[in-house]
Amino acid sequence: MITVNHYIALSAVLFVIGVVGVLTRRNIIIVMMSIEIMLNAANLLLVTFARQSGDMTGHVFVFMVMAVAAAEAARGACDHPRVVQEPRDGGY
Amino acid sequence: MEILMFNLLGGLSVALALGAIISKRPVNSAINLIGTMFCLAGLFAMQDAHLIAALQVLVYAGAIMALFLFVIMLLNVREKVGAESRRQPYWQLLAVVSAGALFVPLVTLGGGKILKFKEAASGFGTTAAVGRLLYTDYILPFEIASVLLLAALVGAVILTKTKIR
Repeated sequence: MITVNHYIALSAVLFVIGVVGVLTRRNIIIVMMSIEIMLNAANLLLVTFARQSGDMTGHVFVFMVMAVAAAEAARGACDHPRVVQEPRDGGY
Repeated sequence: MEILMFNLLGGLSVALALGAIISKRPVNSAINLIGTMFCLAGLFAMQDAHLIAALQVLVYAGAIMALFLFVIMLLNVREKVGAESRRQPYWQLLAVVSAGALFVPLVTLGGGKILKFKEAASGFGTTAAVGRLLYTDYILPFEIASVLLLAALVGAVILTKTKIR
């Protein structure tokens, strides 16, 4: 039988994988993907405890995390130097 | 059956997440991460979070990872091969050790007790139930999230523009 502890362990493993990715890689895109892995680990835990306590507030929190992740991805796409064009006449 | 599905989806998600942080080319990382998102959507569905499982596929695997792939492939982001793509080995070792130290308190989050799932109430986690919660009790955070997305949109336009007229 699957208990809450199984999901806690899985979430911890995924979170640690994300932490290792952030700390060991240099590529900004892969660092952002590792952050997504960490966010997903937290989401899994929120859903698990929502299911365990029978309260759907956790699902609302996961919804908000997804909105923040989408905003972060859109902003992160601008981080790459080649997206931002070189200012031709002094910039702004 | 439940144990089989948990082991399959959980093992696959961990393997794909490892593949995402290990692989050298960003495109491979992104594809691995999409697989992780799908496995997690399955795990959400196993816990009666039906709306969240659908949103995971649509928003994470669909929109966010498509944006990552778009950035990688459009800009042809290539990582330098070999040692330059990673940090120094001693730094890597330190990172893995400190992450392992983080792992211990995370696993013992349950307080050493075995927490069992209760039987879910009917309608738990459906779109109707979560939507009702979202539009009544949590209407203010919901609106703030929409303002946040608008701010990200405007910010992305301004950051990439050379000149604002």
